[in-house]
Amino acid sequence: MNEVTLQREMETRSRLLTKTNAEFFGQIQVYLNLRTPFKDKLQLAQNLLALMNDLIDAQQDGVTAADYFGTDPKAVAREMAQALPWNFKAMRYAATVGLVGYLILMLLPGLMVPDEPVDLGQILIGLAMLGGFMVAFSWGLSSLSFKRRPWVRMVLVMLLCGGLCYGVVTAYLWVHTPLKVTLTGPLSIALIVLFGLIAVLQFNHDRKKFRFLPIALTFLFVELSVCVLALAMRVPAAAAWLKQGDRIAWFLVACLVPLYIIPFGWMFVMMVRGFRANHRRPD
Amino acid sequence: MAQANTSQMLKGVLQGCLLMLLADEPSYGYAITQRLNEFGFDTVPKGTIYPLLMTMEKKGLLASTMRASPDGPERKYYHPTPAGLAAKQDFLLDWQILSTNVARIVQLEANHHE
Repeated sequence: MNEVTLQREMETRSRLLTKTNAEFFGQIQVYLNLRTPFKDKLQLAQNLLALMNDLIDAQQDGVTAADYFGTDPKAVAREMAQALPWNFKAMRYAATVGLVGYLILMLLPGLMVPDEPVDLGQILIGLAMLGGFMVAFSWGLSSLSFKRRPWVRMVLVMLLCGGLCYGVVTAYLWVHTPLKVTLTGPLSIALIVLFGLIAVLQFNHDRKKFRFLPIALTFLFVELSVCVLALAMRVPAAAAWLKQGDRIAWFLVACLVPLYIIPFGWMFVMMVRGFRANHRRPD
Repeated sequence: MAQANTSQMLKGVLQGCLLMLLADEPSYGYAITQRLNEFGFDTVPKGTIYPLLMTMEKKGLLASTMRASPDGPERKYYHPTPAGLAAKQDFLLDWQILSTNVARIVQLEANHHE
């Protein structure tokens, strides 16, 4: 069984947990997933499925998850996270995908306007900030995952995300460096095509991870829309047509509509399904 | 307080106990906790077994396979590796020495009370 099959099995089996036990297991699951980004994901999925099946057995014997796990589930989850082996291949893959994805997202908008210089220094500083934000976000969210009251957890997560996001974006907008390059001619076209190709290949890889499908779809829409626009801006006739009135803006709006409707609609449907499944659980 | 002392003592010997149980018969999380209950380890929080099993697997003392249990769903069955079996022998030896030494001290204490 691979990681995706194990996750699907977990989704199916989780319907057998009671509300309280599902919440308890969910806390451990969130904590472990956020705290082990570079650990062996197959082993993590195997251990989580094994744990869930054991909780279902315990539940059938009248033992609650809280009784089974003791008074300090966070300590148990922390020890489990430490016991998972590192996955250096996953680490290299995540670093490469993260770096390439970030460079595509940051460089492509600049390539939409031919001869517009790209601030490489700003992009690199932004990368460091984003890395810091993601580490802080994962640690913050995982630390909050064992809060007893869900609304407290929600408010704290929103404050944490909002504050960090605001800080990162504001700092990024204020920073300008002299490290600017202008990508023109065949090089810029080759880069745009390459970025589009990478976006498609990345989507093809991520679509197998069904949980990340809406996010992968969002990135694909953004990247391909900007690629098409950047290429069109390099064709004189198309560029002349696009520059009339607000056509560039309308083009972007037309791309952004499916960008919001499809992935966010998908996420909404998944959320509703989750709520319904949770509602049907035995107490 | 007595329970806290017991659990502290247990932490040290649980690994050896798990090696012996799993050498007797490969098993999975919940079944292991039930076997521990049968031997009087019912006060051990069962959650502590999971990180211990994972750590032992990481150290190479245990190996695991995912396979269907008699009840149906996939389980992670653990069994000792050759290194685990060697660690079990070491534990048995250490335990014999420790229990003999402790028994002698307990006997000394008993002699004082007579």
